[in-house]
Amino acid sequence: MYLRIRFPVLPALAGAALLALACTEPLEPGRRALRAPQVAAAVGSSIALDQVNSTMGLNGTILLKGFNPTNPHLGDAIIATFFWIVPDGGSTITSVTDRLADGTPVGNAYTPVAFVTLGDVAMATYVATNVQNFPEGSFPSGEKILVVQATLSQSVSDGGILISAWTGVAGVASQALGAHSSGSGTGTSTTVADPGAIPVNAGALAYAVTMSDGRVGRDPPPGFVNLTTQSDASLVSEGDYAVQTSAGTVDPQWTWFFNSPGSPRTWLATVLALNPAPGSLTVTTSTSGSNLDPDGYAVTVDGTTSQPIGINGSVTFPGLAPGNHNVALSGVAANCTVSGGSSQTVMVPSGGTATAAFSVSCTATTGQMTGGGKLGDRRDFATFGFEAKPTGGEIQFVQHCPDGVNPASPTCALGTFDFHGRVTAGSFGPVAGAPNCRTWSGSGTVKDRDDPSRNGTYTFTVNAACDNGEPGRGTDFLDITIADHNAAYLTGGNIQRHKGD
Amino acid sequence: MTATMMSRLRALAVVSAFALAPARAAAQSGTVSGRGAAAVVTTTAGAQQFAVAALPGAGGMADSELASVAVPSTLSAEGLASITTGQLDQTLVSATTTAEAANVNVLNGLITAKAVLAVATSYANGATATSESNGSTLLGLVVGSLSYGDVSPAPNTQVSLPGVGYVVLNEQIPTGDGVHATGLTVNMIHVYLTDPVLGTPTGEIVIGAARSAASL
Repeated sequence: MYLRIRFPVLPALAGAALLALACTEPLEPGRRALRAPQVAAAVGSSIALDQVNSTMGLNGTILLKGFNPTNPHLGDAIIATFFWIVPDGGSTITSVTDRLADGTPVGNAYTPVAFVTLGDVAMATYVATNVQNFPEGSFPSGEKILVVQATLSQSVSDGGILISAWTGVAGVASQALGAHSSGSGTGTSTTVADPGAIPVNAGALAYAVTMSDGRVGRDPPPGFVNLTTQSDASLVSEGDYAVQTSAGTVDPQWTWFFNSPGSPRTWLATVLALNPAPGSLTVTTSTSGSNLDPDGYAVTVDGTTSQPIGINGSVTFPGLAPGNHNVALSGVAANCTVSGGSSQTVMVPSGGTATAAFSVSCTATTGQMTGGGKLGDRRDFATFGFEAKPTGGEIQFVQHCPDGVNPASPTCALGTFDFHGRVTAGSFGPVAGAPNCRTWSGSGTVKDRDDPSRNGTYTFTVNAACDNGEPGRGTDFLDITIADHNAAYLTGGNIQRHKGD
Repeated sequence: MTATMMSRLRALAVVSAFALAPARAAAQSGTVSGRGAAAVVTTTAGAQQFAVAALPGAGGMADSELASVAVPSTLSAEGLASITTGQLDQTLVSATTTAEAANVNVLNGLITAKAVLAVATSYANGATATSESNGSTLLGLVVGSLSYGDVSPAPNTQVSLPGVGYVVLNEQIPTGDGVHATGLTVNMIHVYLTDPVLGTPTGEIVIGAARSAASL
């Protein structure tokens, strides 16, 4: 059955008739029956087939088809593949547009993804993402159905179209479009049609389509679900798809049962990937107990992207590929433990938000640490003394720079200064992995002898004060950050941690 | 009485005036003490101590700072500071005291130093008791016309100051039995003033005086 479509006006009824066009698949003795078009959704995937329609036997300069009788959902992605017999002088697609069957323009943008031709057949695939501006629902009378059409540069004697709509695809074309590949060939006997392998992301749709001018059957690509199969007097096409549960590669291959000795038949094939809509991950923390971590934690997703998070906080990681992601909480003080472990595997849904909750409990830190002495053994040295415990304490730190400010010096960039600080209650605690060490923080006053303009209030952190035995010189260690950073083994003095803590 | 004996007796006199009686914590069997003074000037007119810090008997920390000091014709210095810390534990008692001053000028330039630091540290664990002065130093030291540069002089290095008396550099006075008790006083610059005619003591100037003591 052939129906000539005239551009630019398509009467609604004619369109409806066109859209009701039936498709049949030729069967050949000895070949397995080809499956009828079916609508299937991939189990456990966020990308799902919404609607599919197809037709063949078209001619003229317009190849079109409507989603008859049910339109896609707003926000869907539409894949449109066009098939045609190439006339003498050639014919290419000049535009792909959409409209309602009653002629109302819709205006979604269709991006050309693949074009393949060999001999007298050609096939082109376009994708539109996040389609809008049409009514959802079923329209048995046809006037409001969404029509997708390609305009060709030259009239063709035979053509067809396969349109499918998909939910869960990323709404931005640049994010949605993955890899694609096409292939072509000829054969006179059983022939494998292979568009080539492409990489696919987890949760992505692999859309595969093949056509031929040989009206024979074929085996579908293993692992794919048939989308539709159609034919007319001179063309056969088949569309298939698979939604990937994990990242990898796909390489759909059809086995065409050509049986035309001396008269080669041509096959074309294309595979493309559409990525799912990204999801987001919200991480929350709740902390209880005593001597809570004073400086919060850090959350890292997949070992690469980190954000700071408060001890009772929440952060969101947007734009994550759907699928499993590892979430790790770090920076937890040694006196605190994370219930269930510090890392989790979380499934991020396409277009949705997953949550990962970390529950942290902290035990009271006790004890005391005192110390005093000297860091450095040359002209630039520091003297210090401190008493720190969970309830507070104080610290005195004197940086000596007899030769004045030295910007190149790690300890004398600010010159000689005195610092007297108060330990913030609750900041005193152990250092992870260093049982002899303690850490604490607070704030105090700097008096800079070389540059009084630097005088003022500063925060400080004793990153680690370590009592490694007696004598303290050469053994005990102090790592402190005030206005600058000083970390060294003691050259005089001692640090004493209250034993038993 | 020899000059050396005189020196030691005078040093002990300074120490006895300087040190606090070791305090005993109620819950501990040991004692800990520490005291630092960035400078001490004793003359016939009286005694002055600058940036003095004394460790509480229960341990902890004490500190004192003074931006500058000027005793006419006797002493000027900047950045005077003393810090003393210590702790009493069941198996260890330790104390550390630092006393320091910068841009020191004694007796109108007779002795100058860019920086003076005295460090005294004591430990006692019930079996042994030791003290040390590691970290003590003198930077840019000049005595009379002799420049010593950056030095940590041998303990109790004595240098004559004709017409004035003498100075002991890195003066160290240990105490204790070395088993259960120990203590150390470090006076980095200790000037003994004497009458040029009679040779009798007339005063003392100490820069960088640190003392620590521990017993268990």
